[in-house]
Amino acid sequence: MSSRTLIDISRLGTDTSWPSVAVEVNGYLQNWIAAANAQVSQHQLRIATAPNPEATATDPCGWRIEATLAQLTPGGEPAVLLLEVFLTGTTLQIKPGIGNTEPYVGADTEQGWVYPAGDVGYSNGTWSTTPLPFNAQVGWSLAPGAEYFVFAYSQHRFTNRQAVPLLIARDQVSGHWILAGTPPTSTSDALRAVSWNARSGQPSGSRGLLRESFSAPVMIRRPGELVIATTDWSYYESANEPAQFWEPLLLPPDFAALNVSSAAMSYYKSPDGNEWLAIGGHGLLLRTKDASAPQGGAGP
Amino acid sequence: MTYQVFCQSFAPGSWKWTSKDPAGIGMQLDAAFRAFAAVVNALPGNATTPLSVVRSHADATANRWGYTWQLGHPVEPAHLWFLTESTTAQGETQSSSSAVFGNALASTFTNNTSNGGYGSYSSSTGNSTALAYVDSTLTGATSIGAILLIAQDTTPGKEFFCWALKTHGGNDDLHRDSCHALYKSPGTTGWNSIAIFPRTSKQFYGQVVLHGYSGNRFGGLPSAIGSSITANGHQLRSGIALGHYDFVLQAQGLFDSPPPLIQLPAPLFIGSTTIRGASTHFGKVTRPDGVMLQLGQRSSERDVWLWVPAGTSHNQPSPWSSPLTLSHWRECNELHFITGLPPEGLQLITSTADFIRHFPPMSAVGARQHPQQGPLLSGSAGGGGGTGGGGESGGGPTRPTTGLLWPRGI
Repeated sequence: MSSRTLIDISRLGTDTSWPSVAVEVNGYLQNWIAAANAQVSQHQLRIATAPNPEATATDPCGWRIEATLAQLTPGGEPAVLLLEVFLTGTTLQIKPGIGNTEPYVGADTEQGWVYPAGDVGYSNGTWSTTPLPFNAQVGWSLAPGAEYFVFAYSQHRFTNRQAVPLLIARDQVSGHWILAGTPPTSTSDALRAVSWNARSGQPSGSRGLLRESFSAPVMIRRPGELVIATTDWSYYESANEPAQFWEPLLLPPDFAALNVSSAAMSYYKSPDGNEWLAIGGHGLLLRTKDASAPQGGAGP
Repeated sequence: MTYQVFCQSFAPGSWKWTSKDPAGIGMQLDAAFRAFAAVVNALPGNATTPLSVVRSHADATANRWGYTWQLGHPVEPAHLWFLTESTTAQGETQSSSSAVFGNALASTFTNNTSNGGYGSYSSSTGNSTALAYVDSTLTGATSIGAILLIAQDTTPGKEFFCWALKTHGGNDDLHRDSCHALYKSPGTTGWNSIAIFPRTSKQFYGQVVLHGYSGNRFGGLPSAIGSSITANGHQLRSGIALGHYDFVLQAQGLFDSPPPLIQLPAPLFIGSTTIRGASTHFGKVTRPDGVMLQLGQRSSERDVWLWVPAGTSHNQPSPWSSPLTLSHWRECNELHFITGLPPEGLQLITSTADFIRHFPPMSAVGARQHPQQGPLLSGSAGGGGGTGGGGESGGGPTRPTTGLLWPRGI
């Protein structure tokens, strides 16, 4: 546990402004990135744009995070993962992408970045300016191979006020960074994530956690896995793209998936001794107590 | 050679589901299953879970086709059957099929010739399935040939028997492919079954039929298959946890007992192939380390493919042969195969707050007891905000008994 930290940055909702929250989170993020970059030398994380403490109510305020990977794109340039998390007015937008200097087949956008298309576009939700209790957590880990940084908040019971604006975590299969976030929205597949799939040699993305249906018994599912969304955002946007083979996207062991929505800030003590704090509105759990008990069951 | 894949072709115009010819499709499948059962029954790990044939197509009277297999289990054996009734065609529309997957405890079986020769049960469960087929003796379908493909693994712990029927030739609209697998999975002692029937425009709604047998009960297995796969993503996945037995909780009364993880058998990839892919139902993807073969057909829910690693062979006598030598396969593109990992574990919790396993968010009552939020409130002098409150002084965590709306100490 020593390499893991969970800080409560909750505050009364009456005076909560996004720039003040984002700037506080950014301080933790800078420290964590410095340590993570020293530890994970083959990937370099960078805060390309940091939250502006002077942002007015209508200024975009948030992050553009980049992760430069050692892997080369077909153009011979390092692949760069991108995550934009910006609050503009009352809209909090999560925008994952990938890019480099290579012109891609497909639709480039401003600054030469390619944003995911098709199934993995941006996603957004509403930031409430109504005074509401603001529960928020910042957590990180520098456990080798299982590094992560996460910022999550909940303004009330419902999914449209619960978000995980930032989640940066090592994919447990490939070792690449996963850049992800979920805005405050009741849309069940609002999560957006981008990573790099070594087996298929192209970006991989996701728009949701793999979990049981809401009608199934409520269960904590490990590992926390992201459902890969592959449609139309590979390098092969033309017809006759070859069949691709993919590895799954797995979050570090401190994450799990729960088939309940609007659970943020709920706390679970699972029978195996692990303890979990629900974050965001889409069933993501963050482990707060690690029990080294055997996992999984066996029936008769 | 414990993992084997082999097939047999049946010529257009002559093959028929209801034929009792020993060389016909029904009896060849029966013989292959019996041979598989003999091998796996001899494994020490299967001493309490032997397989046997209760009914085969040879027992059918009237217009039946099907089989009943006994699944051994240390508590009580069970029967699993797949029956259909028709001479030449089945499931010609999307609305119905009389084919049935059923299951029952072996002790409820009455061994007689009722039910088209398959006997009767005092208590059983049936699932209407999407099996659809057109005999090549049907007028207009005489150019349809059939291929019976069998994949089996007799490796201890990985026992797997899968048959697929694929038709070819003639009008594409007349093709009906189906697949059924019986297998062992980590997490249970008994046998599990999965049947996949692709959904096509000319076929009764496709579905995945799952059975698991554990203890002395069958369970329909809730499935995360749907959420595993992005809709219309042309994705096929392996390593899916098919689910768990709801009844384990009910029967044991133990909510804390983790459910068994029933996994999709490793060689199978299930998913959606709605639009893309060069072939509708003889797809193949060649890799340096093996070949992926399409057992199902293009379908929104669910197509099924089989992984055949390089070097896979068989030692079956003629007329069995390797499916890789068939000329029907067409190299496919525009598909995504995701090699999944089975989940490490599932832990059940109550769906509503019980303050034992499940602590709710941000309720006035819950905040103090909340394992993560509660300590943050310690030393906050017991909150306030109501009239008639006040409670105890001293700054401890004890809250007054009346008058509070919220622990406003933060």
